[in-house]
Amino acid sequence: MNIDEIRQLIDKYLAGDTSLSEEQTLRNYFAEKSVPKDLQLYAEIFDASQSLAEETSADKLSEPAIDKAIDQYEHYAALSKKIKEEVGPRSERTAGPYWLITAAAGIAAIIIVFVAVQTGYIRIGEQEMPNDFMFADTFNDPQAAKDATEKALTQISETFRESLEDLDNLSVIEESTNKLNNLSILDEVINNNLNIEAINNADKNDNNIKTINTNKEN
Amino acid sequence: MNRDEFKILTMAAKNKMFRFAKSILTRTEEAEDAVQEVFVKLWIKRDSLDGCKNPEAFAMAATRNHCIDRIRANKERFFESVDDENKYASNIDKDDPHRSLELKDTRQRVMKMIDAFPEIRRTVMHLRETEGLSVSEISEITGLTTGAVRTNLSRARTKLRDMLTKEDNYEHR
Repeated sequence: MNIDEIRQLIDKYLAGDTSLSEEQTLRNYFAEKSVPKDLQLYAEIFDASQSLAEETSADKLSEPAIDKAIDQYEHYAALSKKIKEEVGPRSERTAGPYWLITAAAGIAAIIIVFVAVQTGYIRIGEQEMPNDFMFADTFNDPQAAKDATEKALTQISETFRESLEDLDNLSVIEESTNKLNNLSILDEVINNNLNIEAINNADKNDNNIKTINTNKEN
Repeated sequence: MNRDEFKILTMAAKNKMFRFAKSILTRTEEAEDAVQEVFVKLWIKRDSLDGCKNPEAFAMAATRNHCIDRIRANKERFFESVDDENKYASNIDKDDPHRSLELKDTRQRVMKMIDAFPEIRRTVMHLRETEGLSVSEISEITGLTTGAVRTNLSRARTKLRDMLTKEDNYEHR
């Protein structure tokens, strides 16, 4: 292979487009021949990457070492399995309240769906709408159409009103929260009392020291 | 996969895995520890190795993931400068110590430049230049597309050429 072909291969190599066998050709070329100065750096690159290829691992990765590592793992795996068996599986330990909450939530969900269906919030098994139902004419008489529209709008507004009434109940919660805020006043009073007590105690201590001191002087 | 089959696979792949780990972690001891841990991880997953059409690529991918996890877990340790004197000691030629020392220096120079590359570029470079793997094998190990593997190879090689040219020009001035 002449030097021009080698240069072409190097360009291909730099573009990442050489095949493995083309790269082997380059490697062989740079290992055997003395090359022009401007190509010497490629000899360096190939040499450095090849020097690592011969490197092998030490005793740490020998067959007995692998055996030992696996044995150790199996030992601890067996141990942790045994501990789990003795303590009991997680699900049993937390059995009491956990399934109760799940069951209660499930029942609540069923009730909500049932009530929703009964009151007409959710409709099941209704006939399918025609694809163009938005634009299909359903009334021939304009008066009848107007009546029907009015009726529908009244229904909607009534539903809204009812929902808003429900929201009024929220004020009860607000009142309760306010009451809770009053408790903080109580808290402060208690704190003040405690402070007074602390001052009293300090006074007592002072008095005690004074007594001791006077005793000493005497 | 029973224990004997598992050992045949790991014994065949261990040097490749070790070199790969070392290319990422740079230290021999660190790489050996990492590969040993990968062996145990593979043992735990030995059933999925059975259905794997290229178990060696699977082992290499596991090696890379584990090494990256190790670096993440010990960041401050890996940011110290790595200067392992024994790194290329095995390459010293006894017949001509002067020549081999010179060779060692140029190898060190190239390896240091590659060590400074981002992990993915170093990995692609190592798998191709040192292990001689095909682009599709590298794609399998790294999860990159074959196009991305070629792009990374091209960038790494070009960068290496530029760095070496720049350094040589500086020296000769």
